[in-house]
Amino acid sequence: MLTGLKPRGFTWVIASRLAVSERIGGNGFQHRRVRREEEITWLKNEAGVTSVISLLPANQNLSAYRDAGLQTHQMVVAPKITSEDAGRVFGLLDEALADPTAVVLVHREIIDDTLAGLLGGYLIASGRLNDRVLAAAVIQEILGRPLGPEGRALLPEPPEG
Amino acid sequence: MTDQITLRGLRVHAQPGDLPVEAEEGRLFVVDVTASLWSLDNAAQTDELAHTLDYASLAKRVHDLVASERWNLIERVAYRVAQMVLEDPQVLEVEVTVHRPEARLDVAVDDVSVTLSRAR
Repeated sequence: MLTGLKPRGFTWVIASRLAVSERIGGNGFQHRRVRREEEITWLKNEAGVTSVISLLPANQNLSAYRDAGLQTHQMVVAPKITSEDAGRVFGLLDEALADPTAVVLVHREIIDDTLAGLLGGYLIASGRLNDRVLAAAVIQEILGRPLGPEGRALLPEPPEG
Repeated sequence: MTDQITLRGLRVHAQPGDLPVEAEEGRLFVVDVTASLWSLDNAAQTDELAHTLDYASLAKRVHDLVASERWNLIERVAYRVAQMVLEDPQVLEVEVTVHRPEARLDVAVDDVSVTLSRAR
Protein backbone atom coordinates (compact mmCIF):
# COMPACT_ATOMS: atom_id res chain seq x y z
CA MET A 1 0.00 0.00 0.00
CA LEU A 2 1.33 3.40 -0.94
CA THR A 3 1.77 5.73 2.01
CA GLY A 4 3.11 8.70 0.19
CA LEU A 5 6.51 10.31 0.07
CA LYS A 6 7.28 14.00 0.29
CA PRO A 7 8.94 15.14 -2.95
CA ARG A 8 12.50 16.32 -2.60
CA GLY A 9 12.79 20.04 -1.98
CA PHE A 10 9.04 20.47 -1.45
CA THR A 11 8.50 24.00 -0.09
CA TRP A 12 5.51 26.32 0.13
CA VAL A 13 6.21 29.58 -1.70
CA ILE A 14 2.70 30.92 -1.00
CA ALA A 15 1.30 29.02 1.96
CA SER A 16 -1.22 26.34 0.95
CA ARG A 17 -1.46 27.79 -2.59
CA LEU A 18 1.84 27.54 -4.46
CA ALA A 19 4.61 25.03 -3.80
CA VAL A 20 7.84 24.06 -5.50
CA SER A 21 9.80 20.82 -5.57
CA GLU A 22 12.37 18.94 -7.56
CA ARG A 23 11.11 16.72 -10.36
CA ILE A 24 8.64 14.13 -9.08
CA GLY A 25 10.18 10.67 -9.01
CA GLY A 26 13.72 11.97 -9.18
CA ASN A 27 15.57 13.11 -12.25
CA GLY A 28 17.68 11.40 -14.86
CA PHE A 29 18.84 7.86 -14.10
CA GLN A 30 17.54 8.22 -10.54
CA HIS A 31 13.92 8.41 -11.71
CA ARG A 32 11.80 5.65 -10.19
CA ARG A 33 8.18 4.92 -11.06
CA VAL A 34 7.25 3.71 -7.57
CA ARG A 35 8.82 6.78 -6.00
CA ARG A 36 6.89 8.95 -8.46
CA GLU A 37 3.61 7.31 -7.49
CA GLU A 38 4.31 7.70 -3.80
CA GLU A 39 5.21 11.34 -4.27
CA ILE A 40 2.02 12.00 -6.24
CA THR A 41 0.04 10.31 -3.46
CA TRP A 42 1.69 12.58 -0.91
CA LEU A 43 1.08 15.68 -3.01
CA LYS A 44 -2.63 14.91 -3.27
CA ASN A 45 -3.33 13.60 0.21
CA GLU A 46 -0.95 15.58 2.40
CA ALA A 47 -0.41 18.85 0.55
CA GLY A 48 -3.79 19.01 -1.21
CA VAL A 49 -2.18 19.76 -4.57
CA THR A 50 -4.71 20.02 -7.40
CA SER A 51 -2.53 21.18 -10.28
CA VAL A 52 1.04 20.69 -11.46
CA ILE A 53 3.08 23.05 -13.63
CA SER A 54 6.02 21.32 -15.22
CA LEU A 55 8.88 23.42 -16.56
CA LEU A 56 10.68 20.34 -17.89
CA PRO A 57 11.74 20.28 -21.53
CA ALA A 58 9.57 17.25 -22.34
CA ASN A 59 6.27 15.86 -21.13
CA GLN A 60 7.72 13.56 -18.46
CA ASN A 61 5.23 12.58 -15.75
CA LEU A 62 2.32 14.53 -17.23
CA SER A 63 0.23 11.44 -17.95
CA ALA A 64 0.92 10.13 -14.43
CA TYR A 65 -0.35 13.44 -12.96
CA ARG A 66 -3.48 13.30 -15.12
CA ASP A 67 -4.12 9.66 -14.20
CA ALA A 68 -4.00 10.78 -10.55
CA GLY A 69 -6.65 13.42 -11.25
CA LEU A 70 -4.35 16.42 -11.21
CA GLN A 71 -4.56 19.26 -13.69
CA THR A 72 -1.38 19.67 -15.69
CA HIS A 73 0.35 22.56 -17.37
CA GLN A 74 3.66 22.45 -19.16
CA MET A 75 5.96 25.20 -20.33
CA VAL A 76 9.38 24.57 -21.76
CA VAL A 77 11.88 26.92 -20.16
CA ALA A 78 15.12 27.32 -22.09
CA PRO A 79 18.39 27.16 -20.16
CA LYS A 80 18.96 30.84 -21.01
CA ILE A 81 15.58 32.18 -20.00
CA THR A 82 14.50 35.62 -21.17
CA SER A 83 12.25 38.10 -19.39
CA GLU A 84 9.61 37.33 -22.05
CA ASP A 85 9.75 33.65 -21.09
CA ALA A 86 9.46 34.67 -17.45
CA GLY A 87 6.39 36.72 -18.27
CA ARG A 88 4.82 33.64 -19.89
CA VAL A 89 5.52 31.60 -16.76
CA PHE A 90 3.96 34.31 -14.57
CA GLY A 91 0.88 34.24 -16.80
CA LEU A 92 0.65 30.47 -16.49
CA LEU A 93 0.92 30.71 -12.69
CA ASP A 94 -1.82 33.36 -12.67
CA GLU A 95 -4.00 31.09 -14.75
CA ALA A 96 -3.40 28.06 -12.54
CA LEU A 97 -4.06 30.04 -9.35
CA ALA A 98 -7.13 31.86 -10.67
CA ASP A 99 -9.38 29.30 -8.99
CA PRO A 100 -9.20 30.27 -5.29
CA THR A 101 -9.34 26.59 -4.31
CA ALA A 102 -6.41 25.60 -6.54
CA VAL A 103 -3.22 24.35 -4.91
CA VAL A 104 -0.39 24.42 -7.42
CA LEU A 105 2.97 22.67 -7.53
CA VAL A 106 5.63 23.95 -9.92
CA HIS A 107 8.73 21.95 -10.65
CA ARG A 108 11.77 21.66 -12.83
CA GLU A 109 14.48 18.97 -12.64
CA ILE A 110 15.93 20.67 -9.57
CA ILE A 111 15.33 23.94 -7.75
CA ASP A 112 17.98 25.97 -9.51
CA ASP A 113 18.68 29.69 -9.73
CA THR A 114 16.30 30.09 -12.67
CA LEU A 115 13.38 28.49 -10.85
CA ALA A 116 14.15 30.51 -7.71
CA GLY A 117 14.22 33.70 -9.79
CA LEU A 118 10.93 32.82 -11.48
CA LEU A 119 9.23 32.24 -8.14
CA GLY A 120 10.66 35.42 -6.65
CA GLY A 121 9.59 37.23 -9.80
CA TYR A 122 6.09 35.87 -9.48
CA LEU A 123 5.80 37.31 -5.98
CA ILE A 124 6.22 40.73 -7.63
CA ALA A 125 4.25 39.99 -10.79
CA SER A 126 1.29 38.76 -8.76
CA GLY A 127 1.33 41.90 -6.59
CA ARG A 128 2.24 40.06 -3.38
CA LEU A 129 5.47 42.02 -3.03
CA ASN A 130 6.34 45.36 -4.57
CA ASP A 131 10.10 45.55 -4.27
CA ARG A 132 12.88 43.58 -5.98
CA VAL A 133 15.20 43.68 -2.96
CA LEU A 134 12.47 42.34 -0.69
CA ALA A 135 11.44 39.69 -3.24
CA ALA A 136 15.05 38.48 -3.47
CA ALA A 137 15.39 38.37 0.33
CA VAL A 138 12.06 36.57 0.80
CA ILE A 139 12.60 33.91 -1.86
CA GLN A 140 16.09 33.24 -0.47
CA GLU A 141 14.58 32.67 2.98
CA ILE A 142 11.75 30.51 1.64
CA LEU A 143 14.00 28.28 -0.48
CA GLY A 144 16.99 28.36 1.87
CA ARG A 145 19.39 29.16 -0.94
CA PRO A 146 21.08 32.31 -2.24
CA LEU A 147 19.68 33.92 -5.36
CA GLY A 148 22.38 34.39 -7.99
CA PRO A 149 22.60 36.93 -10.80
CA GLU A 150 20.58 34.79 -13.25
CA GLY A 151 17.74 34.48 -10.77
CA ARG A 152 17.85 38.16 -9.84
CA ALA A 153 17.60 39.09 -13.52
CA LEU A 154 14.16 37.46 -13.59
CA LEU A 155 12.74 39.73 -10.91
CA PRO A 156 10.55 42.27 -12.73
CA GLU A 157 10.28 45.90 -11.78
CA PRO A 158 7.12 46.35 -9.72
CA PRO A 159 4.35 48.29 -11.42
CA GLU A 160 4.25 52.03 -10.67
CA GLY A 161 1.96 53.20 -7.90
CA MET B 1 14.54 34.03 15.85
CA THR B 2 12.00 35.96 13.82
CA ASP B 3 10.70 39.49 13.80
CA GLN B 4 7.06 40.28 14.45
CA ILE B 5 4.37 42.76 13.52
CA THR B 6 1.29 42.85 15.73
CA LEU B 7 -2.19 44.30 15.33
CA ARG B 8 -4.10 44.38 18.57
CA GLY B 9 -7.73 45.27 19.13
CA LEU B 10 -8.93 45.46 15.51
CA ARG B 11 -12.66 46.06 15.91
CA VAL B 12 -15.08 44.63 13.37
CA HIS B 13 -18.85 44.80 13.33
CA ALA B 14 -19.74 41.50 11.69
CA GLN B 15 -22.78 39.36 11.10
CA PRO B 16 -22.21 35.75 12.14
CA GLY B 17 -24.77 33.21 11.07
CA ASP B 18 -25.27 31.15 14.22
CA LEU B 19 -28.15 33.13 15.75
CA PRO B 20 -30.83 34.87 13.68
CA VAL B 21 -30.71 38.02 15.79
CA GLU B 22 -26.92 38.29 15.39
CA ALA B 23 -27.14 37.61 11.68
CA GLU B 24 -29.57 40.50 11.41
CA GLU B 25 -28.08 43.03 13.79
CA GLY B 26 -24.42 42.05 13.78
CA ARG B 27 -22.04 41.94 16.71
CA LEU B 28 -18.70 43.39 17.71
CA PHE B 29 -15.65 41.20 17.25
CA VAL B 30 -12.10 42.15 18.16
CA VAL B 31 -9.14 40.60 16.38
CA ASP B 32 -5.47 40.41 17.37
CA VAL B 33 -2.91 39.30 14.80
CA THR B 34 0.79 38.67 15.34
CA ALA B 35 2.70 37.92 12.16
CA SER B 36 6.21 36.52 12.46
CA LEU B 37 8.29 37.53 9.46
CA TRP B 38 11.50 36.20 8.03
CA SER B 39 13.31 39.41 8.86
CA LEU B 40 12.67 43.13 9.22
CA ASP B 41 16.34 43.96 8.68
CA ASN B 42 15.77 45.42 5.21
CA ALA B 43 12.99 47.69 6.43
CA ALA B 44 14.98 48.72 9.50
CA GLN B 45 18.00 49.60 7.40
CA THR B 46 16.29 51.30 4.45
CA ASP B 47 13.32 52.89 6.25
CA GLU B 48 11.21 51.93 3.19
CA LEU B 49 7.61 50.77 3.54
CA ALA B 50 8.07 48.53 0.50
CA HIS B 51 10.51 46.42 2.52
CA THR B 52 8.06 45.32 5.17
CA LEU B 53 4.55 44.07 5.75
CA ASP B 54 2.28 47.10 5.43
CA TYR B 55 0.22 46.93 8.64
CA ALA B 56 -2.32 49.45 7.36
CA SER B 57 -3.05 47.18 4.42
CA LEU B 58 -3.04 44.13 6.68
CA ALA B 59 -5.55 45.70 9.05
CA LYS B 60 -7.86 46.60 6.16
CA ARG B 61 -7.69 43.11 4.69
CA VAL B 62 -8.39 41.45 8.05
CA HIS B 63 -11.29 43.83 8.69
CA ASP B 64 -12.81 43.24 5.26
CA LEU B 65 -12.48 39.48 5.49
CA VAL B 66 -14.13 39.25 8.92
CA ALA B 67 -16.88 41.66 7.91
CA SER B 68 -17.66 40.14 4.53
CA GLU B 69 -17.59 36.39 5.05
CA ARG B 70 -20.42 34.35 6.56
CA TRP B 71 -19.48 32.08 9.45
CA ASN B 72 -20.89 30.57 12.64
CA LEU B 73 -17.86 30.13 14.89
CA ILE B 74 -15.02 32.44 15.87
CA GLU B 75 -12.78 29.40 15.33
CA ARG B 76 -13.65 29.67 11.65
CA VAL B 77 -12.88 33.40 11.58
CA ALA B 78 -9.50 32.87 13.24
CA TYR B 79 -8.68 30.13 10.74
CA ARG B 80 -9.62 32.23 7.72
CA VAL B 81 -7.62 35.22 8.99
CA ALA B 82 -4.60 32.99 9.63
CA GLN B 83 -4.90 31.53 6.12
CA MET B 84 -5.03 34.98 4.56
CA VAL B 85 -2.09 36.37 6.54
CA LEU B 86 0.04 33.30 5.77
CA GLU B 87 -0.51 33.84 2.05
CA ASP B 88 1.82 36.81 2.33
CA PRO B 89 5.21 35.33 1.39
CA GLN B 90 6.95 37.45 4.05
CA VAL B 91 5.07 35.70 6.84
CA LEU B 92 6.54 32.66 8.52
CA GLU B 93 4.02 32.13 11.32
CA VAL B 94 0.85 33.81 12.49
CA GLU B 95 -1.13 33.88 15.70
CA VAL B 96 -4.72 35.08 15.53
CA THR B 97 -7.02 35.75 18.47
CA VAL B 98 -10.68 36.53 17.85
CA HIS B 99 -12.57 38.00 20.81
CA ARG B 100 -16.32 38.01 21.13
CA PRO B 101 -16.95 40.48 23.97
CA GLU B 102 -20.70 40.52 23.35
CA ALA B 103 -21.13 36.75 23.54
CA ARG B 104 -24.54 35.84 24.98
CA LEU B 105 -24.02 33.42 27.84
CA ASP B 106 -26.05 32.41 30.88
CA VAL B 107 -23.36 33.79 33.15
CA ALA B 108 -21.46 37.07 33.13
CA VAL B 109 -18.12 37.08 31.33
CA ASP B 110 -16.00 39.95 30.08
CA ASP B 111 -14.79 38.26 26.97
CA VAL B 112 -14.66 34.97 25.05
CA SER B 113 -11.84 34.37 22.62
CA VAL B 114 -10.22 31.78 20.41
CA THR B 115 -6.51 31.79 19.61
CA LEU B 116 -5.07 29.88 16.70
CA SER B 117 -1.45 29.59 15.57
CA ARG B 118 -0.34 28.44 12.14
CA ALA B 119 2.97 28.24 10.31
CA ARG B 120 3.63 28.22 6.57
